[in-house]
Amino acid sequence: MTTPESIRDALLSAPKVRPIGAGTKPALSQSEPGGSTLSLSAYQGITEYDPSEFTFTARAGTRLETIASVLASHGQYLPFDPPLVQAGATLGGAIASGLNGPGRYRYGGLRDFILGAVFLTGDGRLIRGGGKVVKNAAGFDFPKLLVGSLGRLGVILEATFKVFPLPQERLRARADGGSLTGGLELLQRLSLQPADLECLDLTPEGVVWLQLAGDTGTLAPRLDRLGRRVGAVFTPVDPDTPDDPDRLRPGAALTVKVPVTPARVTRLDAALTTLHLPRRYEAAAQTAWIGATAADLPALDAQLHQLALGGLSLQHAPARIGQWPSPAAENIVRQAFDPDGRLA
Amino acid sequence: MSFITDLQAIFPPERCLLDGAALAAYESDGLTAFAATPRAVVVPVTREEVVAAVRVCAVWAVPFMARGSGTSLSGGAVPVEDGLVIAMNQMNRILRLDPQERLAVVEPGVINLAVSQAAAPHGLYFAPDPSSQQICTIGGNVAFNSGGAHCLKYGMTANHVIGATIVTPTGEILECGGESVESLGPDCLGLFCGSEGLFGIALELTLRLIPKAEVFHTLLAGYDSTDKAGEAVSAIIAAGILPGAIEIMDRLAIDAAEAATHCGYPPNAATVLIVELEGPIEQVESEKQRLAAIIEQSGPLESRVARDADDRALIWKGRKSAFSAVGRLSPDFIVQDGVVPRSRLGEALRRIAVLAQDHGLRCANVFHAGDGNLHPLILFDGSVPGEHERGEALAGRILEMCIEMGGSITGEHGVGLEKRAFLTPMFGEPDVAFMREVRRAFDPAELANPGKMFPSGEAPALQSHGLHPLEKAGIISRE
Repeated sequence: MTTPESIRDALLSAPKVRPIGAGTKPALSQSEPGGSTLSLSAYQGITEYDPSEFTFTARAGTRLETIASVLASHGQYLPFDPPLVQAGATLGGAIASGLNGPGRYRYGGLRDFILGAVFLTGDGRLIRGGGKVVKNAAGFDFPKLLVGSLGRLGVILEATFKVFPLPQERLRARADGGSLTGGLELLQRLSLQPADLECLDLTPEGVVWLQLAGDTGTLAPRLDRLGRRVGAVFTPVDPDTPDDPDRLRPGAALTVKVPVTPARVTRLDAALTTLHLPRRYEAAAQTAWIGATAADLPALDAQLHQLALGGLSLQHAPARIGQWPSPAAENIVRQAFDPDGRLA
Repeated sequence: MSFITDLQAIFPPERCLLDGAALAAYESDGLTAFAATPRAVVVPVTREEVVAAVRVCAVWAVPFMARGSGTSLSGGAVPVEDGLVIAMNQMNRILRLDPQERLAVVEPGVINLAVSQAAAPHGLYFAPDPSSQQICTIGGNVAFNSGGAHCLKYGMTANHVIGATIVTPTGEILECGGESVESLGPDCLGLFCGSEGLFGIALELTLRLIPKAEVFHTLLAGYDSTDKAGEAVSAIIAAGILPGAIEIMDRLAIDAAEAATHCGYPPNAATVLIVELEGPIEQVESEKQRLAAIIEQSGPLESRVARDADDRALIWKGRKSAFSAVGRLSPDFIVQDGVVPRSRLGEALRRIAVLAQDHGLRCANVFHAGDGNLHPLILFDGSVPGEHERGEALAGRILEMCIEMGGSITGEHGVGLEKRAFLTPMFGEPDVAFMREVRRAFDPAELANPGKMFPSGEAPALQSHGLHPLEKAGIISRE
């Protein structure tokens, strides 16, 4: 399927359809019982890229790895730091899953960088929302609505994004808060500093990981000054050491995303300790990433319910665990986006 | 029982305005071109009163429009003729300011700047900074996805709102987003931002606060041509520098700003460029050397760096007052708000100059160069027969040019009443028809702010342009 027409025909040929990309998040790529999947992975290619505009447009099946490499060759990158890039994740899947990596801390998530989208509604209408310029307030912001929609509101065909210049240099460092409580406290002190951190993560043991990005030669003095301001000792970390945080990047070892806030971390972490699940708190503890096997999911689901938290499981079904936000608003937009319930 | 008696059962007389003189204050917004008289104005002080008012409108099928301070520059806060105005200004409490969680929970009538002021002791602020931020409300910022001078790096209002409680036009209460910057499921909050009041009214908003930058470095350069200033912007971008703001003003705008604020802009320049770097000391120190080299290469007539915070404030005062100041040069004016690809700014300005000449009118230009967001200011005299119509025609040609260049008809003011005729040219019939379907899903009877954004419906009476009374008093200014 390499044209909007053929994708539309495939969409309309079945009563229940789940659009999918490369399938790097298996729990999100499964069809409903009796339904079918619609693969967008052959619909690929960067259709527009003008580095001087800080924008690109690409088809949904384009691999993030391809996009990242083209951007990098012009000194640019995706600031929301999507996971599973090397695994083959596609742009459409990134939008539909709405996932961000630790680098989202600095400038925001995917929702903050999507500018435009072309999509098919559940009943096969081709709609264009947003625009191709970095600033636009015209019409309803459909591109943002599609972020996190899990393919249940529309079939994303193409999207336009804002990108940023790559920093000249990056510096990773860790500081030991001694305990989860100590680490949380340090993390919150850091998050109030005008330090322009790129990443700010926390482990359950209370180790704070941060990443600075900026001009060559500026990072070591910045780290030094920051340490003195918050009264912490930062140890620069060689990115190749075994405890490199990238080894615990979302998607690989960590397969469940749970939106949280710092105030909710302590109780969540206690529950996860009981369940013996690996986890990491990203973006100043706005996201908990948890490693859970299929066997772990029912207990995790129950714990999240108790804590009034929701989770998205990427690896094992069911994808939606714990307490999800009310679907009331989604149900309203579905009347227009998917009147036949084909994508629901 | 009637619509009015139902309202009176909810609101005491002093917060349920019915007589002509009281209603007159609500006839217009920041775009004084349009006016309409509402049937009544209610001033709720609780969310329950807002919901009750919306439900009364649903029962009697009376259209309504919620407004804050009425600073919209697209006519978005002009009442629906004979409809209800729900004035949100007294719902102005900051319910919670939590520096540890870096968020503020506010009622929609809170003034934009009040949030940053409340957050300042913690080193935090609310990033969206429309020029009217001293008076505009958060609810209005959300409804129109307001911008400001810092959008390239920090995004617009939608990028800084993380949660909302909304009453839909049918009286249903929706919760969107929450307290985390991450969420689950489709981003309905993102859809709500910028929906111009067509999906309902925000009752409570959760805002993301960010740390204020450690240092600022503000550079002002004058050029003998706009092209040179535009090339400097391209060179800054190409060097991988991401300034907090990049602004350009042309000669007419400089003259006006200088006369109004004595901001010390270069006297002989055809164009001025303002570039502001912000961030940690070491980073800004490094970038400012790279920036200085780029500016020197770009052949400016002169350039200078703000000496201190006061000097920086003066440079910005000239920029932020430019539009109101230009208004003093001419009895009437129209502000436009188009977007073109950044690399085509020079071309856009040349075409605007030709179009202005063709229409026999003067046009000043102030723009957010980093975003490609143009604000042409069309000067005319409404008392000269035909000038107002020529001004409107020129504004329309400029928007058509933005569409043709692959840009947008609005970067930050919204469509409102003013740009309704250009939504379809920008998106095409099927997209606009679909937008309307989504609107009807929220509002089957189309009672919430009808007549805005979509190209049909009765337009309120067009009156002459000119400075808003608050601008004349120097209280607000425009982007």
